[in-house]
Amino acid sequence: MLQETFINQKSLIQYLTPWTKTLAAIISSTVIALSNNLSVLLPALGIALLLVSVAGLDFRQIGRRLLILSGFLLMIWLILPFTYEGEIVWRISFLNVSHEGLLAATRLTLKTCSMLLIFLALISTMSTADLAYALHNLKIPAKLVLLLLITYRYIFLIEDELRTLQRAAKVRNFKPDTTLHCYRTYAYLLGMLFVRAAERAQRVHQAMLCRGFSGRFHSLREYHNRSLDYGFLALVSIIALLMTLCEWKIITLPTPF
Amino acid sequence: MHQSHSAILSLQKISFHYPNGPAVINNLDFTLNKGDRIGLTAPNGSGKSTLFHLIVGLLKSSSGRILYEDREIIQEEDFRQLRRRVGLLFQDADDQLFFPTVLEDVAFGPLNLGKSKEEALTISHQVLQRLELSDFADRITFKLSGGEKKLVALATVLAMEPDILLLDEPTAGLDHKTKLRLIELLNNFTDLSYLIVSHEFDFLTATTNHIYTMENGTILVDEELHIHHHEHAHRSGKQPHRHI
Repeated sequence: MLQETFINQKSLIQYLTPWTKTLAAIISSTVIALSNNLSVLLPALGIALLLVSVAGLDFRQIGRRLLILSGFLLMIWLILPFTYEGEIVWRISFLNVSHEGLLAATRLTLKTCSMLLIFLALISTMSTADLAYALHNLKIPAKLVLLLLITYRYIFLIEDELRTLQRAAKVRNFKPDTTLHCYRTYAYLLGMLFVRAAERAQRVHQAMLCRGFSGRFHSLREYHNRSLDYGFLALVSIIALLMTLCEWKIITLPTPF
Repeated sequence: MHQSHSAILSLQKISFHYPNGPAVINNLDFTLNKGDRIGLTAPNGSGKSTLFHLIVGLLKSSSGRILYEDREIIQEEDFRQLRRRVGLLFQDADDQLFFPTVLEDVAFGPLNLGKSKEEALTISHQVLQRLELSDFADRITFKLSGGEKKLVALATVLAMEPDILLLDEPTAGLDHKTKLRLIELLNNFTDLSYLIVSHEFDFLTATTNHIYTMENGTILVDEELHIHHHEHAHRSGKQPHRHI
């Protein structure tokens, strides 16, 4: 289910602490999400591509993930240019393509692609546990951090339970098809899975109470930042600042459109 | 069973029933003295797990009193204190291990008790060493085998430094080798009193000095020795062997 494909890549990115990587991802994605200027978003995509190549990730794996994203982007390209009001640049019989619509779709595409690439380079190269502890060190509320940790821990067990249920159905000659019987079976299966997950959650909570859990979360992992970490964060912050200044038109770069 | 001077835990006329259900525990009296090693064997559904949950306050009894070192346990805060002293080993180790690595999981209890990071780590390493699990510290909990999970779960309970252990079917799903290891470990816990629920009579005789049964929601004490013979047959029975 969860494979954590990119964890063991050997690259410069691996020398950064999870804390640095998480903070850098938060800063850069916030700036990108709030920017609308193409002269900011295009360089952002360039930087994201650069990060991915520095991280040394397998481009085929990246392509597979971008492919999943392209389904959503396709929907945007099919809808936005035809529905946005504005200066009409193109007519196809009764459909009008607006300049603003094209621009909006381009912006969204650039934003999503560059944010996905940045997260692949920075976040997917650490284990989920490291991410959780990094978030804890960044003062994210303990409840959310525990939620992430425990979801990660039990998702495998829930997957196992689903497999068991599926096997139980299979040994009694259940074949998936499009009959009402099949849908009903799947509904029961899913219902059973929810019941089991809820019961599991209750037992885990009881076990936590038995060990004196009172809602506080203590982390044993400490991350010691080195000059490389501070250097990287400084670089990310400077780029983010430049992008913000650009976005506010305090500095101007030539716009392609 | 009368309360003696060395009684640590005593249950007096405890009753419990689930909403709209019959009584699972019915006027149960039980005393655990210091150094007691008691086995409890009874059919499924006779309320053994319920009894454990009542002792540590995960379920609240409908009547009766629970005393720990002659102090009555009433409020949730009392139970919170009690849970430091009474460690419960769950039937399914997966319920008990919720941290990414073994060391973090073992240290969770001591950290909750207000120990510093260094103290918690020292305790955790000591416990792991005691159970010969030192190599496991950095292992990922969900990638352990069933037997390893059980032993690590035991370590997480021991890290709370309890006086009493409650073990709920500790041998369920364990292979022969791990069972032997568990027996050896339990026999080395000379400073602990414990109560084990199990269906495996051989396991109980190897680890406890009294075996009680449960019937109709109460514990039956049969301290008399009964000499008995039984023949049994299985393959390779001619080879010299022991049953544990």
